[in-house]
Amino acid sequence: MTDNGGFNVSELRALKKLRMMIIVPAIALSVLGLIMIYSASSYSAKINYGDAFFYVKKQLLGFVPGLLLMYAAYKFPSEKLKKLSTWALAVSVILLAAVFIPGLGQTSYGATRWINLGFITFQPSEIAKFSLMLFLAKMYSEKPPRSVKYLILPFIAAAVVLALIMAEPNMSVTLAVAFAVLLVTVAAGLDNKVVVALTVAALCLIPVLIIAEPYRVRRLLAFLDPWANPKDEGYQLIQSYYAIGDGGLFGVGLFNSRQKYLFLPFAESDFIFSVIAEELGVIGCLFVMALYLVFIYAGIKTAFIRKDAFSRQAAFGLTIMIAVQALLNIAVVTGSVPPTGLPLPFVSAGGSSLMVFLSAAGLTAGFTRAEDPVKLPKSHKLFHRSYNVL
Amino acid sequence: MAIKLIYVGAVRAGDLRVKALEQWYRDVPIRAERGAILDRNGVVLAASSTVYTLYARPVEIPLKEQAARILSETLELDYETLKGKLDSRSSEITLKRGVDKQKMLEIVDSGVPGIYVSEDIKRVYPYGDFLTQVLGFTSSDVVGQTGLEAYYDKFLQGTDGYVLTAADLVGRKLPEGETYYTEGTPGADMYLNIDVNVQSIVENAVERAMLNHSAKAVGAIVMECDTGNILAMAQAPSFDLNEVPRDDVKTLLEMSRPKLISDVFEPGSTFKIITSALAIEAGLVNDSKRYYCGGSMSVDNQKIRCWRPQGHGSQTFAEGVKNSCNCVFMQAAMELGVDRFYEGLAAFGVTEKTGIDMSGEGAGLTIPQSSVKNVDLARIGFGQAVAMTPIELLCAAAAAVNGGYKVTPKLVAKIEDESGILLTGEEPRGERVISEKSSEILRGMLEAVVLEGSGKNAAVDGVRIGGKTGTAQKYENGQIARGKYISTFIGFAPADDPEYIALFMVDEPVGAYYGGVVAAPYVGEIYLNMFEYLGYPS
Repeated sequence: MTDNGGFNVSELRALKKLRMMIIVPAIALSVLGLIMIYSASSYSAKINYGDAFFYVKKQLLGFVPGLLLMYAAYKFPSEKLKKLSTWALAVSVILLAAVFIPGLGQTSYGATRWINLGFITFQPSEIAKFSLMLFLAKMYSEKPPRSVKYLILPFIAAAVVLALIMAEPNMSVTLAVAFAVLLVTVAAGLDNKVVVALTVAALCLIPVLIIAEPYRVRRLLAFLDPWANPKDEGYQLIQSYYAIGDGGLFGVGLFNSRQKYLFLPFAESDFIFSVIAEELGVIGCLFVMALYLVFIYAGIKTAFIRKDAFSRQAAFGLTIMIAVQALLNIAVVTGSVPPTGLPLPFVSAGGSSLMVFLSAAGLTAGFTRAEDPVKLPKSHKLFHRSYNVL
Repeated sequence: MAIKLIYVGAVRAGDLRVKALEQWYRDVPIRAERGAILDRNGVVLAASSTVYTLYARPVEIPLKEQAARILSETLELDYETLKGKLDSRSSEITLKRGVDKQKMLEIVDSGVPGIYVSEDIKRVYPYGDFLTQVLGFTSSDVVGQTGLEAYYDKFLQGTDGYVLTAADLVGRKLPEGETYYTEGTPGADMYLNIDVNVQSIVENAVERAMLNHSAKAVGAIVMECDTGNILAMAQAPSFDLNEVPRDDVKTLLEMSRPKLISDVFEPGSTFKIITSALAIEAGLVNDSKRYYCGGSMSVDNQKIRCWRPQGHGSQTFAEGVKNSCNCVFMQAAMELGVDRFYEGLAAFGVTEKTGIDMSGEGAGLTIPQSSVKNVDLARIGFGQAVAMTPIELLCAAAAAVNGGYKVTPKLVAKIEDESGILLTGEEPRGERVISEKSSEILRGMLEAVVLEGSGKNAAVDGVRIGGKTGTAQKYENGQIARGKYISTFIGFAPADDPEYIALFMVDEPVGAYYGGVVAAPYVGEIYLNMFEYLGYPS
């Protein structure tokens, strides 16, 4: 309490403000999630489980411990975090592999993504994506990826995680994590030439994936014209459009969604944003998007003001991971990119997922603690030698 | 992304909401009551009664076995089949159509959940096998398929109403979902020119002709001479409209086709009415002019026979009409010449549809004017080498005797609903074909046919009747079919100022086949009964 690390009052106030800009949106989105999950799922839950509060209860079971975890993560010292990150990744990889152990892994909708421990079911990929961010932060903080040889170890780690997630299969999360890894690596100081090369490589990979699994082509077409196949590929997007269209500018009012009556698939998870759009309108959606932007802005700003490299990389990595997932989800729901199943961070139903997101937010907020942040001079120019912004 | 959101959520909202509404509401139609068909005096010929269709939504029925038992017993359905349907994954199954009100209420009161009812309309024809081809019938979902039911379907049908129920994806009613009722509009009522009593008289005559002559088919029409209003139109063989024999589609199509307006035939001597009219109008006929019949005539080196092998000797034109002498009409046709004759045929509407208000009307056929040889012209003169529908023939005959102007046959008098009269069958008087004077001369000649000629059997005490017999050979594969005839009679009454004109035709009578013997008596009988009912002209 007394140690203010040599900061003056206004600097402390600025740090506190930044911290609030991380914590408040995270909790606000989680609470909004609880309400919207109730609204979106009460009808289907009543029919399928006989309990309108089925999903809400599960979400609460994630939310309350999630808050505790968030606080613990906030208090967690960054040096320890750095040391633990290798272990965290190791445990994550083991868990990801454990999904494939019969009896432990749980399959639904044709994919094995969950581990069922009896009292709790969770997706190891949720943990792994943040562990990987922390591990990359550690690696890049020790040896910035200015030379290709320093990329080998981080990329092997990333490749292992991505390969395991892809094997579940879970293409959406794979793509989201891959995208986050690239952003983090670029920000960590990758050479421009390498950035270009990687971008080209990534673009080349897309057709390969499409050829490998042709159903992706149909999904792609579905996104361009959902009404071409209204019963199959286009169905989800059409239903999402109906929800957004019904909501209009101001929404039909909380709990008044019509699309939640089983028309909208995964209304409480992947398509919860559609229900928000229907009930709270475009205005409500813009408000939700603003909450994410505040969170992302504060997370990245935190990364900028830190002095030590690991904290900078870690704050950036965690924030980027959440940002990528949030943006992808909203992009899918609004038909801006091809449909892919990703939950909306903090909001979508999923207790263990919420715990992980809140923990990640807690860690990010932790970097705003008044230990040794230093304001860095901003001298970044676009098209410099690298995009090393950190 | 935000732009896309605003685009979808604000710009396209209205249009998307409309599309979404379709999936949010389950609609059950309330069938509009189909309009009735009535005769000219308001006697109901076709009406609708309400029956019910029962549906079930399997997802809403927890106790499937119990439900299947109750439903199968009450509705007389097979238990196993029904149970299978209830166990299926379909969101809605049709239990039974055409259920009466009492059974419907029984099911609703039985407490089986997930049962939905929709009203349906069943078509009822109080007279059964009556005016069958004209009225036509409807499909099982009460859409007109043949006859007037089809031709005036859009008037009779009305607009269906709907019950819209807010429902979820699989059609379950929402807990607090609203239900909207949209009232339908009943169909309009259609009044025909048909008179039930006259139609009965004609149906009766047709039926007996069918039996007496073991005919292939019999048809008859009674029409008002001046207006074209059709008082009766009957055709046998026929069937009961309440029990449409749908199993044998070919026979059904044959029996339901209104042959009197759709099928052409070679009219034979009845056609002489038209030739006479044209000859009189052209001024070729006078009392002193004589025609010779030696039993046959040679035209273009072809010998064409009169029906009387020994010939009719020397006759006036009027005597030729009375005797139905072919030779007289061959000469008359050739005197007219191709151009004048064909012009006259066109004026009488021989090759054109009459425009009767029914679908499936056929049009007459003639040899193309440019290739008509003398021998063809001679044959056409007495009704060969030309084909017409019976209704065309009747209309042409009507024009010839009614004072000389064309008529358009009309079945429907008016169509009206609550808002008023939607359509009326009244037509302005048609164009003149021959002069009043020519028509009068012709009437006299045709009355003589009945008084002392081939049409004697059509005579009725108390009414002057004019007419013309016809006996046409039938063709099969371009050859004259031996022993197959179509016997016809066209008669009008009263002969001096005709009000009605009737056509009676017997297709392939067995035994006697002269129109004067097979068809004329029925026309006489029809007029006798008609005037008994309508009152004799003063």
